[in-house]
Amino acid sequence: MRQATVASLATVLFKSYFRASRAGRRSAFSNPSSIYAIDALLFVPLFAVVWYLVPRASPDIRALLVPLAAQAVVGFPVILTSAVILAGILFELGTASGLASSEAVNWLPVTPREYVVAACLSLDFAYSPFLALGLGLIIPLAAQLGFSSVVPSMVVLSFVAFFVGAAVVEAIRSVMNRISTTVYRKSGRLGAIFRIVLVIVLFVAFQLAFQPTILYMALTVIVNGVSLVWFIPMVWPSVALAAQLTSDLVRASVFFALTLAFAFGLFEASAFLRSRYWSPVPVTVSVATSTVYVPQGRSFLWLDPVAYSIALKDLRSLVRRKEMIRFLAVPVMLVVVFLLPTVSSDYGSSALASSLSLLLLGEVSTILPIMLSSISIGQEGGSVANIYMLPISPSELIMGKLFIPWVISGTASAVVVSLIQLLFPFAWSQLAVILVALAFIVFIQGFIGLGAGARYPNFSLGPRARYVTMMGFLIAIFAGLFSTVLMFLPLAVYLVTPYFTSLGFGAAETILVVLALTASIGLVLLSLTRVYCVSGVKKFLSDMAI
Amino acid sequence: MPSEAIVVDSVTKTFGRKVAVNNLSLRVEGGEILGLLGPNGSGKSTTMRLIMGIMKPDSGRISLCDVDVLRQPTDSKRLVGYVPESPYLYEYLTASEYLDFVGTAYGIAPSDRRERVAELLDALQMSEHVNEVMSGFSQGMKQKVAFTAALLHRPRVLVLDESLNGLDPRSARIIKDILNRLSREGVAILFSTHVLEIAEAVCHSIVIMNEGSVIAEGTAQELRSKAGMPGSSLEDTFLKLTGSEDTAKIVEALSL
Repeated sequence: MRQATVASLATVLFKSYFRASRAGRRSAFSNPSSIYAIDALLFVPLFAVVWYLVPRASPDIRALLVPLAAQAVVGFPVILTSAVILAGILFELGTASGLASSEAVNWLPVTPREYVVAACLSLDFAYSPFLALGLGLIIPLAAQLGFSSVVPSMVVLSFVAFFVGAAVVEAIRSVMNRISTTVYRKSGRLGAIFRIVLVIVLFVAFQLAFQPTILYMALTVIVNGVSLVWFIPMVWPSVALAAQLTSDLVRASVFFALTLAFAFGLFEASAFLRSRYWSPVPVTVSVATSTVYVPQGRSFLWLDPVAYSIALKDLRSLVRRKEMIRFLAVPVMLVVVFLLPTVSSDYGSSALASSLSLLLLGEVSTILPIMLSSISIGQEGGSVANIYMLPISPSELIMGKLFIPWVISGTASAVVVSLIQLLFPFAWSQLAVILVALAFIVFIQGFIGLGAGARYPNFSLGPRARYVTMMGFLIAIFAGLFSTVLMFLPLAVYLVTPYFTSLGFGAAETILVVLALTASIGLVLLSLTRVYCVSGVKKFLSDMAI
Repeated sequence: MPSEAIVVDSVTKTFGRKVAVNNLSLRVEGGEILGLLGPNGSGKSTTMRLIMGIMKPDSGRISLCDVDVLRQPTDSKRLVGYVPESPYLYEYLTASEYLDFVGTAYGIAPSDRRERVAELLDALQMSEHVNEVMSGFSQGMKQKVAFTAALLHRPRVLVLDESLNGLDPRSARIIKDILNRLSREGVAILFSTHVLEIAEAVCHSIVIMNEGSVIAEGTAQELRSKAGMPGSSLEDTFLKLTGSEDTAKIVEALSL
């Protein structure tokens, strides 16, 4: 393996990530040296502050900090692996096959192994500030609280775990490419459905394997000295560190060695998978087996033909483009990884479980429509020129773009409500309020997402495409969460305080008041967000943004 | 149809400090094929995008068949067909699905749409690819689909931005014949190209742009006279008018 080639390729991949903005501008953050500077800026001050403060803390606080420090030392490598994989699933697997960086270099004399190392390093570069932040906090904490002997191992294992996370992402990327190629060869609608199911299963499986709740439960077991889960390779670094904390040096050495072996094995597996996909031949999807396409020139539900045509196009985009399928996987992932630990845990049908379920409901009804609607403009890429060229009015574009997000989010919310009602039933009167709130929320979030997506689109289809700028994403998320909180506010007040009954309402009247308040807030928010959406789309259509 | 199908009146467009189009005025009459020539970065593509209404000018007025592009963008787009230099197609759609989408946006009745698509794709030898997803198409095939999309709604104005690039000779010839026929039927065509022989063969008149402004306009013969080069080629005339006639010296200076 040629180190210079790997370093050069890693730098190129890293730069392409940061410069893949719609304007293609270079920025101060688009060089590895800038990331090193940011890492240093995060690590050094934090290290200094913690190092200074911990010895000066009162004995009570120090006593509280000791178990926390032990848990942080043991848990940090696993959390790192989990974080890199989660970020990878959300952000790294969206590369269009035609623009995949591997295809840009696989005709050069670069081996798959060199490519895999470079890709892992570039991914780790991108997320290195989190490593710097974690180490800046944990090293001085551990050193000042009597765990100095573990610090060197923890640092080494953290770097290894960081690399393991990137290697797993690289492996998933290769597997996804294999799925795409196989399905493209088979073609047809059945093949496309097969691919969607496979990708969703893959995402959920990997997400479950690294789900923070599950990992945390495992960590708690390890830290408590009951190493029941030692056979899970992802927790080997933690087992090694936990053993070192209890001065069991033999066990620590064994698991330290096993961690390194696992990292090497994962790298080999990633390289093997990548080599299977090296030098891909461009393929053509043939749908010749399907019947002759019948033009859809009629209205559908409340959509006029143009809006329907846009919605149909976007649906095809969602199910046919590999980089878009991940957005279908997200709702499944959210539900499975949230409900599974909740159901399997001790708090089964307690109030905590139903509160957590409400949180999940809010998450599905808020994040999902925002995500789908905010990317709906940016995912057009260069083809957005069609939207500008064709005689499409703002209202047609809005209805066409929001139809799919509304249908998917509405369906997902309905499924989650049904599941929750089965597992942790709410009173029917409360359920009615929840359903009304949810209906409003799905529509409101769609307007917020499209409004932000039209104002801050990112048309880059290059590596790690996100389709909406970070600014747009943050605005949409904060506005969306705020509006969801407002929508559930009357119900929350009703559940938590006797406010409404103190006003003299009877039991039956109270829930009607809550329902009316919820609907009123919904109508106001719906009007406001619709104005935000329409003005954003009009502004977007008035001047080509690419 | 009004005699002036495209009217560009004192239009300026800047990008930051860069003036892409500087106080430009143009007129294209119904049935006229106007060639827009100019070196790279002279403002041709920006001018075409402004005419299409997909970019907003800083000042000035543009209308297509008396419809104001800025005030009635949706209506003006119904009148015009546009083929950009690089066709931006939805590559995950089949050619048929894409053309169906375009036809629906223009409001063409389904039966008319099917007939028109079949006719145009057959002429451009694309019929057998109609149900294939376009991600596997070559540049030329994509260009043919873009042409079909632009002609689908029988536009009264056609804007072609270097759009014969990538076409095989037979298809380029067919497109040229189609342009001539459309011109006879009264369609105004604005046509930009770097291939000066094509401009001379196809266009009724030519406008040469440089640094965002019109520096010369007229028929090919009139341009030669203006440049004081009556017997020369259009290429030499173009190079002289745009101040780039020192190409021979540049080639000689290269130590190849």
